[in-house]
Amino acid sequence: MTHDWLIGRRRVAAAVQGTPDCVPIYAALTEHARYLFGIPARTFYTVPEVFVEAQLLVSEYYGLDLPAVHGDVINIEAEALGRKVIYRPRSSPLLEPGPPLYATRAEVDAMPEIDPHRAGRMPFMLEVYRLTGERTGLPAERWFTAPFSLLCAVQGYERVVRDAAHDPTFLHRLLAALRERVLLPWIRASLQYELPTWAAIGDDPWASFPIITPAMYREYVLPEVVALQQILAAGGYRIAVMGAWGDARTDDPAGVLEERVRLQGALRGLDPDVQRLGPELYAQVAERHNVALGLGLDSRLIHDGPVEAIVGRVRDYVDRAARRGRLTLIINNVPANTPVAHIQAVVAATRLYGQYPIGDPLDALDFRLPACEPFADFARRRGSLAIEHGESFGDHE
Amino acid sequence: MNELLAELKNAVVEGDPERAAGLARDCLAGDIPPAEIFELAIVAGIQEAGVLWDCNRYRVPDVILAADAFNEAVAVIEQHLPLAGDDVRPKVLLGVVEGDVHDLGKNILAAMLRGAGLHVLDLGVDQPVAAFVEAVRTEQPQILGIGAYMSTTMLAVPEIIQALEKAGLRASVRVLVGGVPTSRQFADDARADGWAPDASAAVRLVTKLLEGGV
Repeated sequence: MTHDWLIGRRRVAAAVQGTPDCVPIYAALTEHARYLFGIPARTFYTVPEVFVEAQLLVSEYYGLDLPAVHGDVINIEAEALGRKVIYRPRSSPLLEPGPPLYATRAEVDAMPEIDPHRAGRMPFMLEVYRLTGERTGLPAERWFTAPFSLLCAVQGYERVVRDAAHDPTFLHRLLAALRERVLLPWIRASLQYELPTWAAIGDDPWASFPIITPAMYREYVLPEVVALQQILAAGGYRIAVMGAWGDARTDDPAGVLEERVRLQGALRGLDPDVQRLGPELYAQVAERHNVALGLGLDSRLIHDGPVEAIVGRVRDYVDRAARRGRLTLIINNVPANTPVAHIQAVVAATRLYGQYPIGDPLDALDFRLPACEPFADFARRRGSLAIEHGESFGDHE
Repeated sequence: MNELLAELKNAVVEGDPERAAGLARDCLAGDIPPAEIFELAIVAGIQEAGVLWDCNRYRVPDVILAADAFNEAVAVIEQHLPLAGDDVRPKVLLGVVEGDVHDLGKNILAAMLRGAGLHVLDLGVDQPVAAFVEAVRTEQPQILGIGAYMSTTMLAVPEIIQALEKAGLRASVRVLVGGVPTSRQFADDARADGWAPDASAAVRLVTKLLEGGV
């Protein structure tokens, strides 16, 4: 790989601190990368070189500012504990439905401490981190499953809901065991692996409103994240927890955003919440706390289009939230079969409207979708191990 | 309303399965007709939970617990309800497409449809196209609800509808589509009869379709 990721990294760093040359844009596009290459799920999610090369090449193709190498984050710890992962042609790996892993207090107490170098696909993820660092020259983003989402992954969401109502002490005991015997060893091992870094990101999709109630958030989500933060801070590490949505489904959205700053060390909002609440609210809360802001563009809009609506959304968010600087745009979970032109439109619109100083009015800028080399041609020209594993490479444009 | 019925309704709304089952037994012991217990307390309770969801006062856990209470209360009284019930109630078949094991949305919808007085058949998750076709052929439901919760697995929805057409079964059933990545446009393109953004809207749509209103 010859792409210089440092340019984008500097832009993101500038946006975290203040005003960059342009609003940065990056995307979580794991399944989209697999789809473009036509790689079977089991190969993609178990062969580190294929996994890393495919995502780096697709990130580079779109001109994203940061390499996106994510994967099925919320399966990793549950699989290490014994939940079976199943691979299907049309989806990312899935945890096979089944009874909860821990039915009794005795089973919780017998939970062994995981060995990150042996358990499940943890060694795969460590190799992914190493390879990503090697290919980009930057430490890879470290991901883990946030405590509440891990609880749902090992027990099943509906069981968690019932235990929260009828046996909360059991849930607290289980959360403590997951923290001490799974999350802390896993986070420490991943941070210390090559290239070492000091911050990890927790994914917490199950902690979204309305999937949980405010009472569950206060009792099970917040205290566990804060406990992890405090324990890791003693070793010089930091964690941010994101991936929860549903801000617009709460009675006090501004209050929820304040809590998100506490858990994230920044503020990230995701569509459709940002669209419903307005990007100004997010910008105001971020400004009040003097933190950077990330806004996640609606993945369904990016998938469905049309291009005019996608470009309009980017222009709107830049117009309403980028003027003070410190904004990054994100496409959160690009659907696998998203048309290539739609993602190109997001990036081109960000480059046009997101140039500092931000134009006023932005409508005066004329957007044109740039002509781009087809992805298959680009990938062939660059060469990649991922092409060799692609069973339907070139079929999806 | 009878005080016991009101308490039973509250137990369902508040999602207390144990109390709901106990109160259902008390209602039977108090010689309240089973059909009244079902309609005025148990169904009324799950419907109120749906209303609270609609106005953003209930979250998913509240609905799950209300459905649990609904199911426990129904289990107590169902043997006292008319035996022909399943034969005359409109039949709704629900299933999640192959490669997709998300069952939360389907389970909530099933509980709410049962609360609306419909006979719900649950095909389960991760079901191949052939399983949908076979179930429509053998069960002859008025409504088929197809759930797809991932952008990749939702590609199976048009395949199921095409397979129903090929099998000559499409005209016999109204097909609804739901799930996070789906949209009205997607459902239209797949030649479905309807799309709903959540379980509550799906119940309203099913009711309209059964009344011939869509």
